[in-house]
Amino acid sequence: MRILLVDDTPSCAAAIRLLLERQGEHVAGVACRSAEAVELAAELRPDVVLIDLMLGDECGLDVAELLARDGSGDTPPMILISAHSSTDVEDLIASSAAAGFLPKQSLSADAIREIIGAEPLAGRHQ
Amino acid sequence: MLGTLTSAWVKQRPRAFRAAVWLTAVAGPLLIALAAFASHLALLQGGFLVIALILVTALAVAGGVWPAVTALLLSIAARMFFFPPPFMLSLIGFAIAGLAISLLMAKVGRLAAQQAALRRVATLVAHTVPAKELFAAAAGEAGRLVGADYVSMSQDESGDLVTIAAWDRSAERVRAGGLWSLIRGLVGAFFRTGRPGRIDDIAAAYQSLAEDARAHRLRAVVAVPIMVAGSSRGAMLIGSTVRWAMPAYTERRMAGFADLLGAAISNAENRAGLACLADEQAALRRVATLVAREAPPEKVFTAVTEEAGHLLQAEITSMLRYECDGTSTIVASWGKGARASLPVGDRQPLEGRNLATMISETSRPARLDHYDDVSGVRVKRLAAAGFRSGVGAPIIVEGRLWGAVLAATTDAHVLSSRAESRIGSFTDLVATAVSNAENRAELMASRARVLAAADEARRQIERDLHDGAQQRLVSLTLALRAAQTAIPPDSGQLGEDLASVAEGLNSVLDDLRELARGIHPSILSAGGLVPALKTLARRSIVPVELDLHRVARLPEQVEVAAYYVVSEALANAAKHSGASVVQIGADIESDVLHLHVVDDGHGGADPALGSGLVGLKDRVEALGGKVAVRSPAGAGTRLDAELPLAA
Repeated sequence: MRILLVDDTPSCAAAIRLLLERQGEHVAGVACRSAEAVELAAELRPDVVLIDLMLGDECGLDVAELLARDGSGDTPPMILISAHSSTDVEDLIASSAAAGFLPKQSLSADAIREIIGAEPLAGRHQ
Repeated sequence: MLGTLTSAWVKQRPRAFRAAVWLTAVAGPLLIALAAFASHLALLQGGFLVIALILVTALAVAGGVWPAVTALLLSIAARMFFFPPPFMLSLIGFAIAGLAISLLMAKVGRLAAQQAALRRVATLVAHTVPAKELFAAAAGEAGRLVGADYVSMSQDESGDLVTIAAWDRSAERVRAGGLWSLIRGLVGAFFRTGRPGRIDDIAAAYQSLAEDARAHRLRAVVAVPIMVAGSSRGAMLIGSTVRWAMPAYTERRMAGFADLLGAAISNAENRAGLACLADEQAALRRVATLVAREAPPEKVFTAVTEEAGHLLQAEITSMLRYECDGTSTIVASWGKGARASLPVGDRQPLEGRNLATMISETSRPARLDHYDDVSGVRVKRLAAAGFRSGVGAPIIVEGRLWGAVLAATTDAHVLSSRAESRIGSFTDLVATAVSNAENRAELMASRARVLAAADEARRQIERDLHDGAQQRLVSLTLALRAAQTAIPPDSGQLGEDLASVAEGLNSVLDDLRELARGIHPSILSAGGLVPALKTLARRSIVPVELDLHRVARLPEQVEVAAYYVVSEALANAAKHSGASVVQIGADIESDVLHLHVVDDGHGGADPALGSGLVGLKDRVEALGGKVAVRSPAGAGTRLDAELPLAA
C-alpha cells in the first residue's frame, strides 16, 4: 500500500515512516504543507493519505477538504491523525471529508487498513 | 401750610361725616353762646370758653384743623357778640390754646390713621396674600391716607417700571395709562437713585406733558422707591389733581408703605427661591440617582434635558457633544408638550454666532438674550420656529470640554440670570456620568485585554506542549513500536519489557493531553464552540442533551468564555447536584449568545457562585455579559449566561 504522509513535525513523520515501513507498507512521500500535499497526491497517486490535524498554522481538515476537491472524484481515502485523543477531536472529524481518525500513538498498518476497508497484511508481518 | 396739612387726611372721611363735622363747627359755638345768653346760667356764661375749647378739641380730632379753627373763631366772635368785654386777655389765651389743641389733635389723628393703614397692610403682608392683591390694597390705603387722587405701584422688570396695581380716588379705576408711562419715565430718574422724588407742577416742569396732564387732571406726582436689600425694585407713584398739593411729608409717610412692600417682595422672593431650590434639589437628586446607579449615559442625558427644561421653564433643551472634527452632535433633547425637540444624532459644524460655538470657544456658560443676529444651522432653525432667547453651560469632563447643555424659550429675557448656574449643576452630574462611563468602558476594555492576553498565553502553552513534548513522546512511542516489530518473537523478557515501556509512554501521553486540555481546549481554536461543546458533552459523567442553534464561529473570547462556563457548570453538576441529565442550550439573538445549563439535581447550590464560577463571572462581565444561577432546593440548578458578540 502506497501512503502519503502529511505531517510538519519531522521527528514524528520519521517515526511514523519507520513504523509503517517496518510493518510492510510503503510511505511514498511526506508533505509538510497543503500545497505540497496536493502536488504529491497528484504525482504519487497514493492508496491512502495520512493527514496531521494540526499542521503549523494550517488545519488538517482544510487539507482534507482541499484534496477531496482537487482529486475530482478519485481522491484516495484520507485518515486524519493527531497527538490528541479521539474523544477530543471526534466532532471535528465527523463532518470532514476524511474516512476516519487515528491517534498517532495507535497508528499501525492494520489500523489504517481497517479504516479504509483493505485486507490486513497478516502474512507479511514478521 | 395748614391747607396742605389738613387736606390730606380729612379727605379720607365719608362726605356725610365731613358735612356733620362742618355743621357742628359752625352751629356748635353759636348754639352754646345762645344757650348761655338765654339761660343766664352763670355756669354757662363763666364756662363758655371752656365748653368751646372742648368742642374745638373734639372737632380737631374728628375733622382736622379747619373745622376746629372755624369753631374757634366763631366761638370768639360769639363770645364778643353776646358778652361784651372786658375779657380780652382770656380770649387771647383761649385762641392760643384752641389753635394748639387743633394742630396737636389733627396730628394725633393723622398718625393714628397712618398707623391703622400700615397695620392693615402689614396684616396682609403677614398673611402672604398674592402680590397683586397686596399692592392694590397698599395703593388704596396710601392714597386715602395722604389724600392723593391716584396711586400706582410699579415693579422693576428688566429696567422697566411696570404697573402691577393702581388706585384711583374718583372711580377706583386705572386711568391715564399713556401719561403714567411718561411719568414713570420721569420718576425713573428718582427711582434709580433709590431716593424719593417729586414733581409739584407737571405742566410747568414738562411743557410737553402739559396737555396730557390737564386732560387727565393730573398735576403733581411723588415717587417713592420700594427697596429690597438695598436696591430699588419698584416704586409707588402718588398723584394729585391739584398742583403743589402733595404735602411735604408725603414721601416720609409713604416710606412706611414702601418698607412693608419691600419686605413683602423680599419674603415672596425668599419663599419662591426656597421652593425653586427645593425643586432644583429634587431634580438634581433624581439625576444623581441615575448617575449613581450607573445608568447608561444616554438615559442620564435624556433625564438631564428633561429636568433642566422643567426647572428653567424652557420650552426646549438639548445636550450636545463636541466632536474632534469641529462639529457638535445632539446626544439628547427635550421639548415642552407637543413642541418638537431637536433630532438626536443631528451633527452640525461649529460656526456662526450661537451658544454651541460661544461655549466651545470659552468653555464657559453663555446666554443669548435675543436671536436677532444669530447664525448657524440649528439656531436659525430655532429662530424660525419662534425661539428668541437661550442659555447654555459647558460639560467639562476631567478638565476637557466634552459638550454642553442648552435651553431656549420663545420669550426674550425669560430665562433668569441664574439659569446658567442652574444648568451648571446638571452639567457637573453629566460630567460625572460621562467620566464614569468612560472609566467603566476603559476598565472593561482593560479587563478584556488582560483576559485575552492570558488566553493567548494559555493557547500558546498548549500549542507548545502539543508541538513539543507531546509530539516527541508520540514519536518515541511510534519508534518503540517500530523497534518492537524488529525483535525476534522468541526474545522473551525483552518483548515484555518493551511493551511495558510503551504502556508507560502511553500513560504519560494521556496525562500530558489531560494537562494540555486543562490549559486550553485546542478543539475550540480548531473547530469553534459547537464541536468543543459536543466534546464536553461526550466527556461529561452526567448525560448531556445539547440544543445548539445558530451558533457558528464566534469571537475567540466569547467562545472561550462560553466553553469555560459550560465546562464549569458540567463539573459542578457532576460533583454536587446528583442530576441524572443536564441540558445545555445555546442560541444567538440580536448579537448576544444566550447559554443555559439546566440540571435535574437537588438544587440548593450557592447562588453567590461560590465555586469556580466566580472567576467565570469576572470573565463574562469583562466581555459585557451576565451570568445568573438559580438553584432552589429540590428543583435543580439553572445557569443562564449572556455574552454580547461585539464587546
